[in-house]
Amino acid sequence: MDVRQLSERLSAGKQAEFMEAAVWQPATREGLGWPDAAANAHYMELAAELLSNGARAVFRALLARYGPVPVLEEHLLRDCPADAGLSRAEFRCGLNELLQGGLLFAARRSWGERYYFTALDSFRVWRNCFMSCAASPVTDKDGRLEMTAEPAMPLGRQLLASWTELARCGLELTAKGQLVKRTVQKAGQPLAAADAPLARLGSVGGDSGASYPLGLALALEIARRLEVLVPQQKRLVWQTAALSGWMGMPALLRESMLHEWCMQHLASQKPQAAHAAAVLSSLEAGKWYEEKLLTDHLPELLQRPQQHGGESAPVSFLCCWEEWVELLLAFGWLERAQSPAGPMLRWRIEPLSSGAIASHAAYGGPLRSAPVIVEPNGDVIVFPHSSFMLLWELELIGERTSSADGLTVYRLSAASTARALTQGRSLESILLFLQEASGIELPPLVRSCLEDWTLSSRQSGRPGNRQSELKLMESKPELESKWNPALALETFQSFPFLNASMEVRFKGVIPLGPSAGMLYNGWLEQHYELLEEDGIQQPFPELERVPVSWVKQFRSYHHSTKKEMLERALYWHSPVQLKIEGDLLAFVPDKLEQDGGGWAVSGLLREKQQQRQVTLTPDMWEEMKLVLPGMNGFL
Amino acid sequence: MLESQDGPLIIQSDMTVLLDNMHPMSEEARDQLGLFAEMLKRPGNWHTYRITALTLWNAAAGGMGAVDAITILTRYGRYGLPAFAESSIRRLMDRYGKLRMERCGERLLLCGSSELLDELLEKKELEAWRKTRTGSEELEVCPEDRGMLKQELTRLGYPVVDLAGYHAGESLTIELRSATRQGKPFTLREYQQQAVERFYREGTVQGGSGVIVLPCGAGKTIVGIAALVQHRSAALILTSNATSVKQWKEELLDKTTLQSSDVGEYTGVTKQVRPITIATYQILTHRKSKDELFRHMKLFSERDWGLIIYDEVHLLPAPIFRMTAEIQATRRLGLTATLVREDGCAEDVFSLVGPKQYDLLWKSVEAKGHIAAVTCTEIRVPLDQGITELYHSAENKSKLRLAAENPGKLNVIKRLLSRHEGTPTLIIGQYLQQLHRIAETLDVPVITGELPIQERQQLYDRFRAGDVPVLAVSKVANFAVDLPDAAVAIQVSGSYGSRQEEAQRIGRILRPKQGRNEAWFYTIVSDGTNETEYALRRQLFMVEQGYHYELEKG
Repeated sequence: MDVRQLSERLSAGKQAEFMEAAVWQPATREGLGWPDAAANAHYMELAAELLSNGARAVFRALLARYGPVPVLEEHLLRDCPADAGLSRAEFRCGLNELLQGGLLFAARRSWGERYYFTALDSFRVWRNCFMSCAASPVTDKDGRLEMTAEPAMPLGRQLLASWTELARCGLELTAKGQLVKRTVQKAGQPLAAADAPLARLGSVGGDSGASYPLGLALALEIARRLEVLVPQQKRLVWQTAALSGWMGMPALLRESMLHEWCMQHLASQKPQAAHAAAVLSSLEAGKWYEEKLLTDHLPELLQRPQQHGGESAPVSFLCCWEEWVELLLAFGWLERAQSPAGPMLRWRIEPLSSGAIASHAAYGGPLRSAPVIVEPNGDVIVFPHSSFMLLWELELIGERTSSADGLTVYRLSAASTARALTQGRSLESILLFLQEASGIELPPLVRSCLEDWTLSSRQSGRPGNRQSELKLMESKPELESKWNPALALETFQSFPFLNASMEVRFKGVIPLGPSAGMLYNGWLEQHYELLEEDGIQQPFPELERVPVSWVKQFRSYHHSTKKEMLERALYWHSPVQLKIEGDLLAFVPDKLEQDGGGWAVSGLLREKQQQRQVTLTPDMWEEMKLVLPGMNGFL
Repeated sequence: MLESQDGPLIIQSDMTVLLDNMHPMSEEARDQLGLFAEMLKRPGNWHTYRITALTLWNAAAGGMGAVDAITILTRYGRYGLPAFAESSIRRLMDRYGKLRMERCGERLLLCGSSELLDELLEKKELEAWRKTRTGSEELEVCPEDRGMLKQELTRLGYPVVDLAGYHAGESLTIELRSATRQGKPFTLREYQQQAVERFYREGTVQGGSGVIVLPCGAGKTIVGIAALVQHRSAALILTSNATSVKQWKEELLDKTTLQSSDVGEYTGVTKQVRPITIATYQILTHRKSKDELFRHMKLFSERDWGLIIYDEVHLLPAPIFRMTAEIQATRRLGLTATLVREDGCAEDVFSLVGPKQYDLLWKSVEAKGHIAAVTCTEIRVPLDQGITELYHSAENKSKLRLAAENPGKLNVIKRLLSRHEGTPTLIIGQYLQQLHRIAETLDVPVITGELPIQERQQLYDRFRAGDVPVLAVSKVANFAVDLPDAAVAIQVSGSYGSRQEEAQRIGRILRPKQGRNEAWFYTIVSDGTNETEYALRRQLFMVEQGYHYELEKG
């Protein structure tokens, strides 16, 4: 769940309670409510600074080990306190602080369970607060980069290609509610390179998408979540308003938004993948980084193969890293090169966070799209950053011959013209579109070719052409618009090139809706019930039987009393405070051991500069006190 | 992440480069880009170039390094140089010169770093070749394998710089004349001189093999002759047809000190082997049956040739490639107007004939007045009423024939002849029946393959002399036929969508003209038929070279 989804499910009272926490005071002073503060990187960073040391240690350990993956309380309390260098009681105390501030949330799948997690869209910000990646870009790459593969088209373009194939092939569903085989094959092609990386990441086709290739399932999932496509009886139907909105987005924001969405939904199943995604997203766009420095920077515990949930095989971080990088390469967002120093990575897009995307969107004015170039031989050149509306139309009336690096070249041909006519365009609409999109008179050769191709298409007598001719005769925009959304955009004069300014109206970031069930990644919102009760109770059983002085004062005790106090601390999973050579130090006991005729205690000693595992005999400290985190104030 | 600067080039990861011809820096960018990229098309203001392994190796052969190419692209790139393109340029260009073929006495050595040779020895494709490791950085290979091995290594992506040298060949006394036999002053044009120098390279092993690309009518034959004069050795000239053989001979006698007895013709009719022998590809690849050997291939060894010239090298047939692989110690010069081979054998031309040494855009030559400025016009004629019904009920293939032979074209031809009365005109067609019908109606002579070569020659001579103002010709006149005064060409039918054919036909009227140096090319097409589509395809090469077709309704 992201912050927006959480805010829809949490009561207003609970959200107000969150804002009473000290960590949100700067945001409260600015009049922000919880959802706004919790989605704002600036206030989140301030909140992280205002957390108590204990809560910071808890949060850091939790994020490091589990990322955004929901974790069962028992697993959390078993594994994480040691990572944080805290006793379990201290850990609980820090956990409560995070829950009370709305930095962490509790949910359950069945009665008696308790899972903890962070908001999906907050993870990368929280992570960077506690584990920021210090890797610097390579300034002198010495020109020795060896690249083995041509970069792929960005995902936004791949989606467009897939959707236009859907528009060309038709959206009828079979009795089983599936797209027909040929449509699946054609529309799956543009995203075929992502099939394998998606599978390796653990994505599976959802209920209705089980038989689709995963790339196509992703294209459909996003289309459905954007409400660009909606199911209606025995077919999918284009929603022109939603499609126009999506196509009107600036390319930069569209790719950033898709990246953010993929991070949240495709990289959130394994902590290692989530960390990989977060580390990569913190890198400066357009700069080369040494891959080894990035992977080396991760917490040591993530470098070791880990087991999750006790069922699956141990997962290697490097394996997850590779899976995620492969997906980003397939989506055309990242490029990789070999250098004498090893593999290097570089962003081809700006991996903005959701907060940054929103602020960019807020300041975004109308966008101007560069005119296309129509060459006399029928080549149509479309420049980088051109509107998707242009590309959509050209996908449908031309044949894409090249699409590397943002520049796209289409070729108008007899076949592409015949196809466009079959799908409801007319010669006049094609000519008008090309003229408006290029801003000048069409070359006479192109005009005459289009006329000839139209004529020969009509004469060829194929059913499609007869259908097209019928449509030409009908000349009713309403009928044509049902046939195809792009035509609808054009017909209703909302097509950007039909107004003189050539401006695209960008209305802001488009939120994605709930899961459409086409691509399944075990998404949180499908399975968990949010819990609003306060944090977990600190159980210090039999507290009343403990002498008050044990918890109130530093005192020197007899060895046997020291042992008794430590047994009590072990029972409560709480720390003790020791005076060693005059210094007050915290000690988290782990185990009492027999040592010849005497005894010793092993555990974690927290010194000023470091913490270390030690074994102490009772003569090694002078005074001591029991600590009850959350009660006698010590952490 | 595309950050733009104001440059005229858009470079893409797939190694294509678009040049904005309207950009103020386009000219300087084009000059630089042309050094290591080939132009694919220039249909309008945006010209498309392609950088390939061959273009890069050709550039490297001329002394350019990867850093130079990268610097040029970075300087003029509008959206920067994609990392993949940069890496590919570096990888490919760095390979050039890493493998060399050298001679050590009688031994032929393949030299390179020990790592590179180790890498090659692991290649399955090279297992069958005879080779011995004679040192960490050399392999001894069989001298007979010189050509085939270079060909295979080029295919595998390892270009070989052939420094094994050439044998001198039988010496020949030959000079260029300062005035032709006809008394006209004669000197090489600047670009012809440059082309010859690039090929000759002062007689060193760095030169002596390669291809020169010049537009039709720009004087490729002259370049060939000048190369021959530089080398002063016996030479075998291979060309595409018997008429061209005659023209080569005439040019040699007209512009050099050679005597008629020095120049032999080797065709279906005549079999003379002389210090300079001109033969057709056809006769060399002629055999009575498939199982028979190519008897005339012995011509390659009948004299000690010091130079072989391949005219229209883009037409070089496979058996000649095989033969060429065996004579790598002989200097080789390829000449063409359109190096692009439809059969994908460009690599074989590179490895067996040699890298491209010189190239010149058609429009650049036109701008300097060395070829005529051509106006291209497509004239659409309605389908004659008599065949309309037949056309619509016919099969696709028959449709094209019917449209091509549309009797309605005749009136347009008449109109054009009257428009250009007094200007030497060719009527060019694909179908003999149509050509005969037109020739009969207009009372003009016709040249087809049916006509004996001597009679063809006579007609060409009469046309050149101005005795025959209009000549109808079939595809036999497509290549290497020099009709300098022809200024109008009327194409009445063509071979489907052959771009090369259209270019070659236009080439017939490109020779510089007296006065305004103008020429006109008309293509007559039946309106509303599939012929218009084929016509468009045929026009592509010319359109891509920067020519425009006007449209007229007939």
